[in-house]
Amino acid sequence: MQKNYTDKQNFVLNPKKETIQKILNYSKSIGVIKHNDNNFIIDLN
Amino acid sequence: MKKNHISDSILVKSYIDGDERSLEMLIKRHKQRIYNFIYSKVFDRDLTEDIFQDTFIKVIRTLKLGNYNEEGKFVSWVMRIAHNLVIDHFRKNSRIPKFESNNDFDIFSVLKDNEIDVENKMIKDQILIEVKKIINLLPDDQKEVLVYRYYNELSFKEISKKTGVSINTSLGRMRYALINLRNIIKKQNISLTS
Repeated sequence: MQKNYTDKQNFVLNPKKETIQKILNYSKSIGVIKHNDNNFIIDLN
Repeated sequence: MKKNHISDSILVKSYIDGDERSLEMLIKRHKQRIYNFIYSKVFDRDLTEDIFQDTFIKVIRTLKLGNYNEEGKFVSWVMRIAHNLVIDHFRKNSRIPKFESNNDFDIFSVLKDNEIDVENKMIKDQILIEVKKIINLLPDDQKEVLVYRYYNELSFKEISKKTGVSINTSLGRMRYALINLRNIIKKQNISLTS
């Protein structure tokens, strides 16, 4: 069982599932295109 | 001994090649360490969530743009990004003065429109950060001319001496830099106005 400590030296915290899901969704929502030998990020949505 | 343990290096390569599940594995493997590192600096859960998210957005963008160099451990790289974002947060916060009005004196009675108010300064700072990010996407020779011209305020004659190319070449690089900047801003749908 995971314990959550509040002592400053001993954290055992985790990000929210929603935060991780947002990150994964962001990764799937963008693509890369080449222009003038450079890569650029574009929004696929 | 764990069997079938896939190294970070292989997961990163797999993600760059298009496997989104590899990113998920990397995050799950290292989330606790990175999250707790951020929290140990800011001591605020909501802020930690934001910085954690921004950290991985930077990671994703760097990997997808092909700008990641496997020179050290993946997690050390991610921690450096998180650390820099924490510093950015503290820098922004230290610039924002906090004023409170009381019944005797209203600070807003002396802050005039011709002074940059806090909100406009924050917006301006954010715009400058976005501009720097976009400039970093340019090819090195174009970035160099642009930085010399706008940040160091050098003439094209001075730029050509520094870079060892003709004035015409410097002018050409500047022209292409500006064209590329416009294209990037348009393609990424960035708004640089307040």
